Amino acid sequence: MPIRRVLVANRGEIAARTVRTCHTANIEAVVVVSEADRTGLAARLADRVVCVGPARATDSYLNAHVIVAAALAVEADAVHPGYGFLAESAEFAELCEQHDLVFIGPSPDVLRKTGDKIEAKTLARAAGLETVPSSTRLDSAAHAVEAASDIGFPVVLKAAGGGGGRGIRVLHSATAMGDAFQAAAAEADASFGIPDLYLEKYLERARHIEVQVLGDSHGQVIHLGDRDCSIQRRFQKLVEEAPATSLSRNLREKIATGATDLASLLGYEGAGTVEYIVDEEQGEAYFIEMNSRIQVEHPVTELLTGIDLVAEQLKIASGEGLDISQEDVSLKGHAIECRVLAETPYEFVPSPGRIDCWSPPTFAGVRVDTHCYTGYVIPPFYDSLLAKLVVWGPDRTEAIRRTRQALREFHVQGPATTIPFLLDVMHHTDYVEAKFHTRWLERIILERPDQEGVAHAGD
Amino acid sequence: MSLTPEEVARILDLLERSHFDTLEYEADGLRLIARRGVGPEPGVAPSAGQNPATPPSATPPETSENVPAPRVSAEPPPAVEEGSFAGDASDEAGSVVKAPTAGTFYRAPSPGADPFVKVGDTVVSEATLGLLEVMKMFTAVKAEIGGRIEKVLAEDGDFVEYGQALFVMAQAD
Repeated sequence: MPIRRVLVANRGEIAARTVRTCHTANIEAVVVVSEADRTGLAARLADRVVCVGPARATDSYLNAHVIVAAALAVEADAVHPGYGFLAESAEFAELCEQHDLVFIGPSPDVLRKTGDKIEAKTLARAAGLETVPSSTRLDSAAHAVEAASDIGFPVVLKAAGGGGGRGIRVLHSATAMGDAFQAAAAEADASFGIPDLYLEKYLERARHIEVQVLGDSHGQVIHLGDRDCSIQRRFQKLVEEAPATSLSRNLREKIATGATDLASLLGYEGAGTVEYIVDEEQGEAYFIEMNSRIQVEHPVTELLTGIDLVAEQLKIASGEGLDISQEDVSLKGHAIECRVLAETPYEFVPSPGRIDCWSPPTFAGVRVDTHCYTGYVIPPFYDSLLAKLVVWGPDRTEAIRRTRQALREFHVQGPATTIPFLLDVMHHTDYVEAKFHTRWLERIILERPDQEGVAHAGD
Repeated sequence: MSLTPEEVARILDLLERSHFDTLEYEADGLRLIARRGVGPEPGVAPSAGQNPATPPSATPPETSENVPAPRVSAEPPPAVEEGSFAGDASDEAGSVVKAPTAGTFYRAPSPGADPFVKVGDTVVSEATLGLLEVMKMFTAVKAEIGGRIEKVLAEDGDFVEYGQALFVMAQAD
């Protein structure tokens, strides 16, 4: 069933990027906006714009009914949910289906299964993946203490209803459990509407490594390689790269096979990502969750493979089978993504407001995914992502050098940005030597802002 | 089946205490329409067997065994300006009533019924001017101030955006 008109139900850089791919594929794109995003880039690029509510996300981007009503009013064939907001909402996917709108993503059933993080782990084990020791759903802080003692500290409290780094607390002992439990439950409730928590063993010197998969409606599933997303602050990714370094060949194959096995078991349709925590010392990879949506960091995979993942999403959603087989997938070179945020470097204080000058780098191997432009006023209501600077090089060393150059040429006047901070990361010997793990950024860079280990002595 | 006056009174009380302006109840051949606010009510010719309830509040309910015949309007349709997915009509003199949500705009409480208001009508503050529907959930479009309806900017059945200009009103003197 050909898709002729897509309703883009998101904002910011992903909405602009989705509109662009639709247009490249000769598909019309209609964008829903909140009042605060009428002047956004996606709105400027789209064929048509429908204002569906005030700035507050609950009344606009999270308002499933009004978004579906808008899609029907503009006679869209399909809805692209982007990432965040309703991207993994089974209810939204179902509402689309009920109204004969193609939801560009997996089925409501798959969304439910992967959305319940505890069930997802059960399914992962059924597909043959390893998982870290974990608890069942926790009834109380007392239950949590008990489960933690069984598993062994340190442990991490996680939200059962959703991922993306929300509702997570790390505990080294039982003393802080009461407060941590309450705080995590509140955050989980606010983020996903479900306060349920569970516990996992926490691996301190681990890497966050994920595998990109694509599945079609004919049961074909392929993977597009792995990504390393260990550079995180408060469980939010700041720098990602592909391929992940220092993975043994065995482990790399194992996580890729695990990812496609899980996707096959689920009957997964669309673009998805299987996330692992990799214990380098043990040489073991543990499944943590599956993200049933396009991810923020998807461009690094695109630069390695030459495949447009959003274009593939559209093809899959229209019922076409994948025209790429696993053998066709080739991963060339190395790509690094830096998330440029409208926040002060190091303190990470949000800095919304007018961009007086927006001048991103542009040279061979450099890609900037953004919704910003000179004169754009960054609204204070949403996340602070301004742009994704994605740089390709024939190898990691060259990719790092080009990224440094790109960051040096990235000029933004008006709001504060994290560009200086990113430059420091790119110069840090640990980063250059790929000696990092998920706590590295917070421990090494942020606890030591005098930049121990940073060498700015040219390339 | 018909409702007793006490049951009708209870239903009206529920409507009164809710955020809604219109209530439609239909079961077993009985249709009850209750509506808040001022404005002309469509007349209903009593049919055999009807038991009109005593109105407990300012707006009498209509009860009938049969669906009331639609009233044929002798007036020309009100002037409607091009407005779907339109701007904020900021160049309009007078006060603009904007859509409080996006949704399908209805000018009348039910299909075939008279519109809540037409051009030239005078309404009080908080009067219902129209309805917005999203997936069968209704929100009233209300006049913030009392005054005269100067223009109607969207047509019945149009999908309108959040904040879209729907009516222009002249303030009451």
